[in-house]
Amino acid sequence: MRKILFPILGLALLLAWPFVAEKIGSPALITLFTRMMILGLAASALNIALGFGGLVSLGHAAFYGIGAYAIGISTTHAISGEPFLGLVSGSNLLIVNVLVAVVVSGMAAAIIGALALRTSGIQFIMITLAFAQMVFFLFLALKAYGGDDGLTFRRRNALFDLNMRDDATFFYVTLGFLLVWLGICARVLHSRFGLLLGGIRQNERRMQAIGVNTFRLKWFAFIISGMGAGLAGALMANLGRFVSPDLMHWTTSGELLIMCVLGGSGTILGPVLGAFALIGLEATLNTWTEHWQAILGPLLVLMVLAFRGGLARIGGRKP
Amino acid sequence: MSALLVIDDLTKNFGGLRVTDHVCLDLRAGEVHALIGPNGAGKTTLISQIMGELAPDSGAIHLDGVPLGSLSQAARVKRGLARTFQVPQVLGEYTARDNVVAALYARGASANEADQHLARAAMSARADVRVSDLSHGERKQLELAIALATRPRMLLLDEPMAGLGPVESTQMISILQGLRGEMAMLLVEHDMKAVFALADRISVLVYGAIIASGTPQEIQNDPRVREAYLGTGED
Ligand SMILES: Nc1ncnc2c1ncn2[C@@H]1O[C@H](COP(=O)(O)OP(=O)(O)OP(=O)(O)O)[C@@H](O)[C@H]1O
Ligand SMILES: [Mg+2]
Repeated sequence: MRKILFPILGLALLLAWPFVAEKIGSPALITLFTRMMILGLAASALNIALGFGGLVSLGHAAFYGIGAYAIGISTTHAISGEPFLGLVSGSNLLIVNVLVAVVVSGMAAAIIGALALRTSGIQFIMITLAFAQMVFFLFLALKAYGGDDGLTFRRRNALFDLNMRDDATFFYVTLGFLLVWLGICARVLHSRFGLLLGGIRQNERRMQAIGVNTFRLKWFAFIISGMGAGLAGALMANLGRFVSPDLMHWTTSGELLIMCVLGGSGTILGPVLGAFALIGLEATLNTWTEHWQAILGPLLVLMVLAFRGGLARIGGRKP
Repeated sequence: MSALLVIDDLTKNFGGLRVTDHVCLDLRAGEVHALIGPNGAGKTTLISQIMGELAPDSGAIHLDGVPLGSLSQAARVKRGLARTFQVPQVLGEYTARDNVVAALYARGASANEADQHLARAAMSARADVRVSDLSHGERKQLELAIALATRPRMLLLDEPMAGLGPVESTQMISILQGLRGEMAMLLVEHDMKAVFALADRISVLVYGAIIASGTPQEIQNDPRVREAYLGTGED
């Protein structure tokens, strides 16, 4: 019962949120919640690798940033009318750009994953971090696309005839993407692939002994995970109409990990809850004191200890 | 009966330690071949080499006359090799059934088959229990059900009796009796009661080398074996 009740309540709250925010006279809360949903989507994407595949990646900021830059670059070219590399013209259509973002970040995940997955444990953490730093510095040096200043574009990408400038509209568009993504996650994880992936997380040796090509399955999981992070980056780029290398700073990867652990890695909704909790805490503490980070740290430790297995598992079976 | 699995002059070292020493072994289709030997003799290491989990330093392994070379474990499982683990390697968060289902999915089969494999390992009653709640003996039986789900022609059993109580041992022996003839088995085992109850042939491994091979009677009467392994008067 509670398994369906809470998600439905949460969804109802989100659907009503833009009206509530307007009513209480804080329209900025609409954008805040959009940010939470986008980072929730990114954390949920990381969770495919982390929670379901047992792959602790500290490099997902790279895929997130690449997805965002795909939007920034395509949109800039669409506005200037100059083709990208003199070959393909940019686009201002959200669907087109999101597809490009997902494909490009998926390809990056395929390359990085193919190399990083040859290691495991702490080595895997370090190598994913190293690759992400490489991507970070690459974009930092990419003067054609703003270098460390990043890229700003005037308008959000177009979707049908929606008024994308309206923050409430963009909120609902983001919610739509989040729901589709969570639906995909649920489908993937209840599939044969999901069962085998969970087996690899629990005991890779066992899975190899029954004839599973564990490398390939982990690679697929890593690619899907990278694609999801790219989708989140694409939405974040549209939210602020701005991309910069800051998006792929390693601390973003760390925050996504915290969201997963806080909310409950290995659950479908946990990472989204974790994102809401973390961003919500940051935003609240931020208004109280400028030393908010000194409070946030210990508070997170307490929360993780208090809610073993994450927020999504409160009241449920402990892992 | 023809040889299904032929191990030819296999050698493996761990640093300075020779754990497999020019091992030659013929395992025939449908036969139960017991491999006995003291702790640390290299029995588990041999199974891991047959499965492709460990690479031998030299020598070859043939299945149906085809050299396995550097084939992956997945490829070997597809060709009909399966193993169980001395220390159960099961998926603790899943039910017993899902452990078997994983093996079925791995070869593209339907989950419906799971019950039949669980039944053969006397695990039907415990199918829906989470593995972390199973006893050691049940996990050993589950190991077997998982291996059966891969539909092996050659089943490599690494001490299926290890850690079992007398009742569980008797049950395991009868489970294995029930599989006789359907597939070849390499039975690594310290429990001599099980070995003599099940084996068609026995090989003795000491310090990585096969020191004797033969029928149970031959092995029982072999003075080298009595000296090296069976002690003075066991069985
Ligand atoms: N990965 C490894 N690295 C180094 N040495 C190893 C490794 N695995 C096993 N050994 C050593 O190789 C030898 C053979 O080990 P193995 O596990 O094959 O013995 P066993 O015959 O299965 O013994 P037991 O009856 O105790 O299970 C032992 O001395 C062991 O310590
Ligand atoms: Mg052993």
